[in-house]
Amino acid sequence: MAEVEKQVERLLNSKDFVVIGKGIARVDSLEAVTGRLAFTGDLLPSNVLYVRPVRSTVPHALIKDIDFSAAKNIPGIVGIYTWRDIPGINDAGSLIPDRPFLAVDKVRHYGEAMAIIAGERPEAVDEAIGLVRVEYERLPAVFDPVEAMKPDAPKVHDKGNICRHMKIRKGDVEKGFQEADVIIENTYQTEFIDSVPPEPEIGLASPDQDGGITCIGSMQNPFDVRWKVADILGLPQEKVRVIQAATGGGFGPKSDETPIDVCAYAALVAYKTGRSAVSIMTRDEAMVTQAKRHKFIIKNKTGARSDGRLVAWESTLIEDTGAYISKGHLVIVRAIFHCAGPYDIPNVKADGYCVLTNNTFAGSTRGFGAPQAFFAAERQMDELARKLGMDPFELRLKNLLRRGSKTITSAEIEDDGLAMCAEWVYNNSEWVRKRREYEEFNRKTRGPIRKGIGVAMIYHGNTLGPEGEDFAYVDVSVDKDGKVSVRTGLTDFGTGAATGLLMIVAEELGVTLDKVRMERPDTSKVQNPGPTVASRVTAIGGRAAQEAASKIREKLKGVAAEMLGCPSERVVFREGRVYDSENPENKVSFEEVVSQAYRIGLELKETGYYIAPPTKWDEETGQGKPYNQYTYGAEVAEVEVDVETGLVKVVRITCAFDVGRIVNPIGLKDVVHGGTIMGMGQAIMERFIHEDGIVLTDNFSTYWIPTAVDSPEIIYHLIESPGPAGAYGAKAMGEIPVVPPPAAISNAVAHALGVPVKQIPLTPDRVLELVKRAGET
Amino acid sequence: MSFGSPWFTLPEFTYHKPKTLKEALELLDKYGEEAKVMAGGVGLLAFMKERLMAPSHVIDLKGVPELGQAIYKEGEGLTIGATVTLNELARYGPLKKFGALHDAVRDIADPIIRNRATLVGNLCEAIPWVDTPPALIALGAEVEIRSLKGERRVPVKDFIKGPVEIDLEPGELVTAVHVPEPRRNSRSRFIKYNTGSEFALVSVAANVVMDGGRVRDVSLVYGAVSSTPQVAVKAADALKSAEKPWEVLDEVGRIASEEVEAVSDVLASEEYRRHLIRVLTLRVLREVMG
Repeated sequence: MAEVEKQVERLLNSKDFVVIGKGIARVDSLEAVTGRLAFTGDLLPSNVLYVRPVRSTVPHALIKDIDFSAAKNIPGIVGIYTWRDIPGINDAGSLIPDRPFLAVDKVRHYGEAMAIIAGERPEAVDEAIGLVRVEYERLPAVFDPVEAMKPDAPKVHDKGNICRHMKIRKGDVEKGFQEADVIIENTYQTEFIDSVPPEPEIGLASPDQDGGITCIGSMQNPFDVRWKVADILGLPQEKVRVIQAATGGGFGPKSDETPIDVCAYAALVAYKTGRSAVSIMTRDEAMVTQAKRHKFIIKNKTGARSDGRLVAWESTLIEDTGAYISKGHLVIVRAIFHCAGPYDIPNVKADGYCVLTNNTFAGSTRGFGAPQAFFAAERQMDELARKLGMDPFELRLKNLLRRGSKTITSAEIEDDGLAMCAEWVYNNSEWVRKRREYEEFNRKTRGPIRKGIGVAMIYHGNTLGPEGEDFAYVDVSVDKDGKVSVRTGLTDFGTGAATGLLMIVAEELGVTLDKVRMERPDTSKVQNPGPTVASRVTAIGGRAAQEAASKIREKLKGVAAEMLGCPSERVVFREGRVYDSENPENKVSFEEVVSQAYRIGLELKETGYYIAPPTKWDEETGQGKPYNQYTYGAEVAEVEVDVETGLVKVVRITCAFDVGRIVNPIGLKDVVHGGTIMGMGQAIMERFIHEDGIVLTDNFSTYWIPTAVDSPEIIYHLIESPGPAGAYGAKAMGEIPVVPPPAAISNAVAHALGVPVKQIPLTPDRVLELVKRAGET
Repeated sequence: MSFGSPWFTLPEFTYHKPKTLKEALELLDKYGEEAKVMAGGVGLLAFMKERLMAPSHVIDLKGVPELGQAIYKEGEGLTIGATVTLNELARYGPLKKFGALHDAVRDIADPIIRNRATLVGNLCEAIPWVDTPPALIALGAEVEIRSLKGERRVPVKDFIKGPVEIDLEPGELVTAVHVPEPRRNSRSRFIKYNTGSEFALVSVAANVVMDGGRVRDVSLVYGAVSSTPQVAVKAADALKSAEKPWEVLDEVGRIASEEVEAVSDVLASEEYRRHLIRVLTLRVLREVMG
């Protein structure tokens, strides 16, 4: 019965797509690889001023004095500016105004900007920065979020250090634990991570003739940049124009506050001097200051019946957001909504705390708290399986969220995407055989290698949900010659999202992709489409693109109907041809229809708008429907652990994701590959170290990320179980592949060594500790 | 730590590209300490961007034909010119005779760097974690140095005097590295421990000469553990004096891990490095003695 229903649903949802679902290489890829794509650094005018900030070298201090006397004598220095020179509001916080654009009398983290220096030559600026003398009065500081929660801890800001306490209360957790046959409790920890977009932050600002400022930069959200730059300069919004240049990677930090910083440094200098100015971060500057992935400490207590059925789950999540909140108050929400894994659990209690410390600030990073939450939840499931003597995959299948099950917020699950992912991975990873074989290998081997296989399952609440209004604007226009232009403030920063939008427009208008082009995001040309975050461009932006394009198609239908002499409902737009569905030979070209439309004075320019249904939940209990739909994933990781050196090699990843609708299979392949490797970095390599607030890992020589050499074999499968909110049923996918690897890989390592893994990354020294512990037990 | 490095730009300098060795030596003589030579430029340009070096003259050697050759002569050994890139060397057939160097050259960094970086440059950088010096020292390689005043040869072991410090006077140029013909019944390997394409945390090169069941001679050299490559003399002695060398490998590894200098840094603790020295010593010896 369920099977038939599924097939019927598939049939009803299926559509004969011409462009959607076909593999399209990113539309800007040829330009990118031939070096023709214009990045901000390619656009510097010859007389540009170079601007860089003077940054604090201590994590928490009062600024007693700054001495610029030596710095300003360097030939070529044009200006030195402090908070006193800011004409508008001295704040660069992207959502919460808690972060001074230039420090006033206090710095709260290492690397905080205190002044900016502008000069004719970059060398002069660098030299001048080295000559600035700052007198600090050190303040007591706190670097551990658990310490920071204590009432007598040093305060990072005037209020307490806990900036959000988020709760889930479902059922009766005490009663649940009483009904449990088995209860386990473990504490897990993750580290700060920097996602190191290849292009560090850069912003170029030029004064306009009318007293405004134009900024060009590397960013995800031009409207956030415009808003803050205008406020800092004390200008009306419309006096600031922001254009996103080609952007070399985003991963979240480019939607956060450092792109605002560089554009505002440059803009302040352009405003003061009347000249073009550019601010470019070096790699170490970017790594110190850009928004990190949050460090989490997560305590999970889980109760189950002896048959494996989950009856109670209690979590405490402590999130270190560093010295400024940035997106920390939203990351804790996503983390807590996903803290108990993708399982049907009747009784849940969870408390999440977003905590300030004097570490550099964390914020938006691909996955937004989910990788940390799933690492802790999915490790916990493996520990539970061990305690119960059950196969960890079986334990998960027993508790999986299926159609009709309720999440920890009591929202009802509407599809079986997760079960389909799990089934595919179970079969295609050869889970049962390998699990047995590796255990036998480890028993018999005399060499240093141990093999392990681990699984993780995830669901990922789609797009913004509780994180903001989930709307998008996309403009589409058709020129006289039939060329289609797409304009939006949603951005592509290497994600392939622009290609997806163009495919949707081409599909709706029935033209080939080469007729459709995307214009550069420019705040003077479009409305604010909401942020480019939360994997929303294809799913949510796609709906707006679909709307704009279909409005134009409907207009053209009337024109075509007259030209073809058939009723307009019979007019078909397909691959550049427009024809009568009952007589395909009766046809005209798309261009001819457009030309006729222009002759009769039709305007072929439409704005598409879409807003996802509002999501609601109760602030006290977390109960409700925080997301409109979920993306699902199941992943199996296979590892080889060298017990003599501690080195973990990820051999193979087998994964399946329910993406709702495949818009561009090539784009999805890239997203799965890139995301998997990035997630692997979090699992075994990336360890961003603050030592008493000072960053020790500020470049690639000390902060190791995976390269192509480290990439495992990746076998993936995409399932299409359409969701209600996205274009053609598409679900969010940009972030999701980074979520399962930390969990799956650490479960595989725990399997290989036979000991619990409670902390990532699994760097060799930590793995050796685990090996030692395994020897002791 | 400052936020001033790397700077965006190179410091100002005059660029020279001599066409003959004589011309190169004359330029070096003329500018002395003001000049730096460049082969691949991988190290030099990075150092200059970080303002660790600011030479007013850069002498690019890539225009000098005889510096771009690797020549192997049976019985004499392998001479590798100053501008031979690591990938050129990796593709040079006779390199296989020099096991440890072959391993080190083939695995260093990544293909893009190897297309640019040179063996001689790698050596002259004298950065503690680069791969080729331990292999060259284990193989008894020498550096060939020329100046207008004449020429001299220095063992690689003595050439590297400290981190980023080499035995080279102003006006002198390293024209080549010479690796002697491997001894009969000898075998050498280099292994490094790292993750993926990153720098080594510990590397080891071993070169043994077997004599029946015994080890007649052995050289054990460690990279990335301290500020210069470390030679484990006591460990080598223990192996040479053993009647049944296969039975003392554990002991040799332990001695090596205790006798060489090892440091702690952000990437690894001293304790972990010493642990790795023991493990890698065992592994490399099993390979070369096998």
